[in-house]
Amino acid sequence: MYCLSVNDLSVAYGGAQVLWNVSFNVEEKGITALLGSNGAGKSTILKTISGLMNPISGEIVFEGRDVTHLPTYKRVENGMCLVPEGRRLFSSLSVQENLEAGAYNKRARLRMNDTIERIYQLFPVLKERKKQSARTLSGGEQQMLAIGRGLMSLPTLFMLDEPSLGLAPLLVSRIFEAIRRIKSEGETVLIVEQNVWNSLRIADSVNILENGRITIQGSGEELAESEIIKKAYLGL
Amino acid sequence: MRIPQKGIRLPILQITDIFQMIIASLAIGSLYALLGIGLNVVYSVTRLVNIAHGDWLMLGAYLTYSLFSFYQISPIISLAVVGLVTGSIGGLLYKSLFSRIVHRAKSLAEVEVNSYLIFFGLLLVVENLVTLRFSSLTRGYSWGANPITYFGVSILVNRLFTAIFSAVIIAALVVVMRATWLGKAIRFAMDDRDAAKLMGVNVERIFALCCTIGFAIAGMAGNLVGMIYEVSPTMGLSYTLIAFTVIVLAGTGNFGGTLLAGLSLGFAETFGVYFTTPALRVIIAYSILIIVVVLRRRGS
Repeated sequence: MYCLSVNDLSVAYGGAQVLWNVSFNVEEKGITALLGSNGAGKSTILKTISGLMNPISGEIVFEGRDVTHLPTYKRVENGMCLVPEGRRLFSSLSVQENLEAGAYNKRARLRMNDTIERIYQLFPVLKERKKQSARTLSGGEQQMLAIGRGLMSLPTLFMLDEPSLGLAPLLVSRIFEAIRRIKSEGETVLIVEQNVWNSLRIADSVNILENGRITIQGSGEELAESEIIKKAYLGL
Repeated sequence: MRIPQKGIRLPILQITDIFQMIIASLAIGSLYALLGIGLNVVYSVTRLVNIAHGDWLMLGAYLTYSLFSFYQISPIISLAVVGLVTGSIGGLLYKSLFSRIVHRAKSLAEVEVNSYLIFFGLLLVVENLVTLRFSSLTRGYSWGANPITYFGVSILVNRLFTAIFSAVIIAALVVVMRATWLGKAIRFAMDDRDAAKLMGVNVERIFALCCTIGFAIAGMAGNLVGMIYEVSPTMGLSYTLIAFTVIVLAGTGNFGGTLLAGLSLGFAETFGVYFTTPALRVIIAYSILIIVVVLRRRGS
């Protein structure tokens, strides 16, 4: 059984259609990547899966259940989590308060203190800065906090929208390393990226999105060897 | 020897006069803080610009008046009823009208402009309905209009009650915001509504709740205002402006600061009137609003 199945999804934004019949599956306990250039519709897919946007047709099946018309907060309660593009931290709150915010849903609230310790092990720098306001963190630290806040909700499907955006190369590889570790702890990950090279290296399964349509699907290894990908995305 | 400027009295202040004025400032200032916090709960969370805030207050005053004159129900008893009625109006208006505006808008600015127009329409409807039913004559009811005196300083019972009631409501809101998951959810929705949804907050419910609380506070403030001043269908506007002055001073979303801002306005008005003339009462408050808006740094 797939953790998530997206079937024939079409989405319009402000009167213009941006996704056409997008279908793909997310396998349990693996990393699935949605890759493509800016404006291909990657973020729209994640927003629709998490319920921030509504599709005009198609369905979203999460753990065998049709969630296409559920409000966002119910999807979160059921175990979906999106780390949004641009991080969207609560800038007036401290690092620790942001992490606690992630544990808002009742399931996560009960185990909040244990989960926070787990996040501090994953990103020790957050523990050093736990009293600081989120807006005083560097870009990389903010991304770590956004990922930590997401994990606080105890997700069964962990979605990340452009986690490497705007980060220095060294930090990019640290973020990808963290995502790999999260997967190895048994999490199911769906990642949207423009950073094709790093994504191909960690992804078990890859979908390439062009102009609102999925054009290529395959495993990470397959696509890293593919001539089309090398030419179009890796500049080799 | 300096010659006093024309038009400004320089009265000789007794120490009891000063205490008397401080007490008066605290009493009126706490009412202003209550007005401000009612508006702030709605605006800072939902971004709905409730320019009919003073009219829900007026509605609360007329409801109290009706219960008092037709059923002989004491204003102090009808306080809770008034809160329930105007609070329900707030919740129902959100569900029926404003929910759509909030969800269809592409930006917060769009929420603000559209809600402003709708509230303006509602303001006219409410004022006209009340005028139709009660005429435009001023009405009144009173409770606790007897003074109590300690150490030569006296205060009317209704003003003392207003101050205590306001302080309790504001303290309760501050505690809820700081110490409960509900308060946290409100803060998340205030900061970033999409991020709040992604945390699992039922933002729609939070918005409806904030409208209910804001309108309930406005109605109850109307009940209290009517114990002290006369009531008329057009009384709302001046209270709306006071409420906006308070949240401009305090900053949106800062509920503790609202108390401080309300009290400051109370002091400015009481002392300003004492040193000039009561005719300037309204002008003092609005001058403060204008000065703060013009001089305030962006983003504060």
